[in-house]
Amino acid sequence: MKRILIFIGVCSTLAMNGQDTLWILPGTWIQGLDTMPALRSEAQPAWTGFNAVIERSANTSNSIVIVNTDTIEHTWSTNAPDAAITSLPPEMATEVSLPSLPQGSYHYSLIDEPGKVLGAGGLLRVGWTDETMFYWNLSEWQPSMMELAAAGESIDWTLPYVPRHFTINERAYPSTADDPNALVALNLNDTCFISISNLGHMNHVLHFHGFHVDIMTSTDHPERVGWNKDTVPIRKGESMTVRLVAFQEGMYPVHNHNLIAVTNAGFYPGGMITTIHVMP
Amino acid sequence: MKRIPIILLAWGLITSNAWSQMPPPQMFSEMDGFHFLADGTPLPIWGYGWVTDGYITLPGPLLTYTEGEQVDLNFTNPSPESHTIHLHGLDVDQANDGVPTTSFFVVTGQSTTYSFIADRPGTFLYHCHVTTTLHLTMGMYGMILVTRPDMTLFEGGPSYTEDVPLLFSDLEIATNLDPVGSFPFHTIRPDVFMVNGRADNQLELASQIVSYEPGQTLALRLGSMAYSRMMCAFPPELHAVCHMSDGRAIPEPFEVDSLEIYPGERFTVLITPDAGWDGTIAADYWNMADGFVEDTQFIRVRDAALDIDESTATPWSGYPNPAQSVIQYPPALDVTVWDAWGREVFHGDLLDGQLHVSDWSVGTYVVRAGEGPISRFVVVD
Repeated sequence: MKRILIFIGVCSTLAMNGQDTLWILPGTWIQGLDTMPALRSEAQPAWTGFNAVIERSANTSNSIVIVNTDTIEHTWSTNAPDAAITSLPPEMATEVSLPSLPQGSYHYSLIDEPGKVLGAGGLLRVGWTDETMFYWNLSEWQPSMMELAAAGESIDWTLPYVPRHFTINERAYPSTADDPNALVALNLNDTCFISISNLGHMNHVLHFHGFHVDIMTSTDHPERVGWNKDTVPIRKGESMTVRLVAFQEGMYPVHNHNLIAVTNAGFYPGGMITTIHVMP
Repeated sequence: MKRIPIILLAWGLITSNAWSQMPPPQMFSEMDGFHFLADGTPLPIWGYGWVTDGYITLPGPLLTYTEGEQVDLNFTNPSPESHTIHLHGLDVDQANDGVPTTSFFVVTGQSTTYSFIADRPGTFLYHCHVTTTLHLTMGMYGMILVTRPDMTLFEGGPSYTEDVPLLFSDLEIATNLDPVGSFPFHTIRPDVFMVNGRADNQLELASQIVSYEPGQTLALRLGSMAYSRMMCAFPPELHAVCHMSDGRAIPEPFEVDSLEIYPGERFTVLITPDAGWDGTIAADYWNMADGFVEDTQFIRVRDAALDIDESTATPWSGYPNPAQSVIQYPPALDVTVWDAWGREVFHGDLLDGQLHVSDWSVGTYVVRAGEGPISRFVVVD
């Protein structure tokens, strides 16, 4: 721990803006009646269960310090074009360079098997700091698979994948209402931008009630930039930015339209549901 | 001769008065319908239908409106559970959104009207939003088309001659057989894959074949209420161009040879098939969780001038419908009739084509001649 703190002291001056240090933390995550081992990339050295967001300016390269408090090595990367892959030795702090990127939404994650399954990954938002922003980190979770990963056992990806929990920012509905980044609260005629990433292991598709959104950026569907849609697929590993104009007041759900994903351990309603609340 | 104009005038007054007093179309929901799978097995469904028809269908009725129309969609729910109609993609206001927690439930015995202006042309969907995971797989969904009188897709958009609704969906047989026992819902994995509620050999029926005249441009209205991810393959002979998605024009229309459609998405693809062509659009159903192809269905597209097998082309329906005593069918051997619960109530020959129903219970029935086409009839008092 001592060498981690010394390294952080050296590196703290290297951060350019936004979150300058991430802590990879193992912990216990509770969803309903399920208690699961999990990993998170936290903004502070204490476990909260939520992954941090990295904010950066567009077209500027910089770096971030990642403190791997786990007892095994992990591998870190982003879904930005030509992203570097960085090894994170156990109980060590490592400086990771972030390349110059155009305005958009991206994500970072651990790409080794335990890191991937246990869920240490979050949004990397580039060039949106002056806008009204929300973010949705989409994922789904199969507790039995997480137990295996935490025990260091390999995952048989040929077995049926049956996730029991579906989350936005590590919260499942109705808890998504407690997250000011998931709940889109706006005044009438406001315009907002929502960064969305799919950090899960399956494709997702979000349906917006009451509104169509403009696709502004996409890592996997660049041909769809400029489309105006109410049902938006977000492939596994994809990040996108959408723009929403709050032209009518009221409460409108946004939810996964793969309807197994609007459940919590099989109970409806739950999972990947949040709300757009437009006030007069 | 003098009397004729008077009679016509009187008839005009009567009919105009009758027309003005006609009740507007009314949809209803029920939970005791059934649907025939491709192998002839009747499967319980929940769904929507027109009150005037008296039965529900899978998918529900196609709702068609004209751009700019003020729509009042009347809905009544005599079924034992609450339902709603969510107007998927129409961006209606909160009160008409059909979400029980933010709009309202339509409880048993209640009627309501969903009101909105169909202000955008395009392809939309509707479905029940009560316990949506279950109610959708049970069959409570349908398609909505908003079209323009000038037969252009949108203002300034390309013209076409005919709309072809193609609604993809799927269901899990075990869930439909035992909806209460289908919990937990996250394990639902479909095993029947449909286009407009039909699958496999049912898609070869003349009523399901997409026919065209050479030079004609058809608007394929593709929408998905499936749990699967669709991947449709368009042969080059169709000259398919995608112009719209989710009721909006695509900024740059594109020629399409394959099109991915996720649950809830819609696309409008114009096709102008080559003369004399007879082929299929292959629709792959991909498992969303495991990422493999579960099934492929084939949508037949053929030049209308080509011969069609009359055994599949002839619709098989009786008259009158609804009926009180006798329904007249084309003479047929080996007829089977099921009631609304899927129970076989008659099996035998109709040599004279007459089905006697005077002592049958009031309700909806399904009749099938041999392995041929299916039709429905309603017995009334």
